Amino acid sequence: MSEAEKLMADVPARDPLFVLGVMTRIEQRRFRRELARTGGLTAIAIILLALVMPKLDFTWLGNLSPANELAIGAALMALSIMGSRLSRTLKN
Amino acid sequence: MTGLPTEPAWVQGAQAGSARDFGQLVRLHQQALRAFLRRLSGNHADADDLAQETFVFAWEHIARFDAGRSLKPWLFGIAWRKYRERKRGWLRLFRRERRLAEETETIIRSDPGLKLDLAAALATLPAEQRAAILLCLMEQMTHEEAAAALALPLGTVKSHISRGREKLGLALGGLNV
Repeated sequence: MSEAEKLMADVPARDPLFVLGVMTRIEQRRFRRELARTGGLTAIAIILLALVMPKLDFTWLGNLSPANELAIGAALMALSIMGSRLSRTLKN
Repeated sequence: MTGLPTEPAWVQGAQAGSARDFGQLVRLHQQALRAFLRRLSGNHADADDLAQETFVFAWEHIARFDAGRSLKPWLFGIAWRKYRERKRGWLRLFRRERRLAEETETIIRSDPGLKLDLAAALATLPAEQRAAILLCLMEQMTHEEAAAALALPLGTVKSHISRGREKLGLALGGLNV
């Protein structure tokens, strides 16, 4: 056995666990990067919505009387209750 | 019948985004790279961790690699840079290595008949000399390839190898290395 072979002897020629470790790290990095990208896009979307929101709010308040707002709120509640009941009925 | 895929084909595959081809490259080079890093760092767990980081870095930057060249010097160059990054605090590294070399020299002088094995003798060399010796003598790289991998001038690598050989010969009890 040559000196070079002796120096390499303590590392197995085939080591599936090591290869798996490398590929796992690669996948973890890719996942983290994608997560960061998605998080960044979400943050941008939140900021944009936050900028638009006051305008929507203003429009909403300006055009509707308190009574109409209450009526719309009640209608939305009724719709959500009916929707949940309907889905329960369909399941049964 | 087509021949078995070889390194250039796997490199091209990896450059096209094939993780399977890159896995083949990892299988092909893991033994030599880990042995190199183990001799360099002296710690098996650290060395294996560095080897994994080296391969991850290689995967992320393989598109920049010139497929017409040999992958090995490029990979070992990354490994060397990762090793140096980990050992940040050059002064600390320099002091530690100098102390280790002095201790070994003292042992050898006090007992000239003492012969260390090659691995122990290598550990007494400064990091750059050790890396140059490992690349040229163990990995059979040319001086030019080693210089490229270590990002050192050719003359410096030649001088590291010549001095390293001398010191190894002394540590091994006058053997020719």
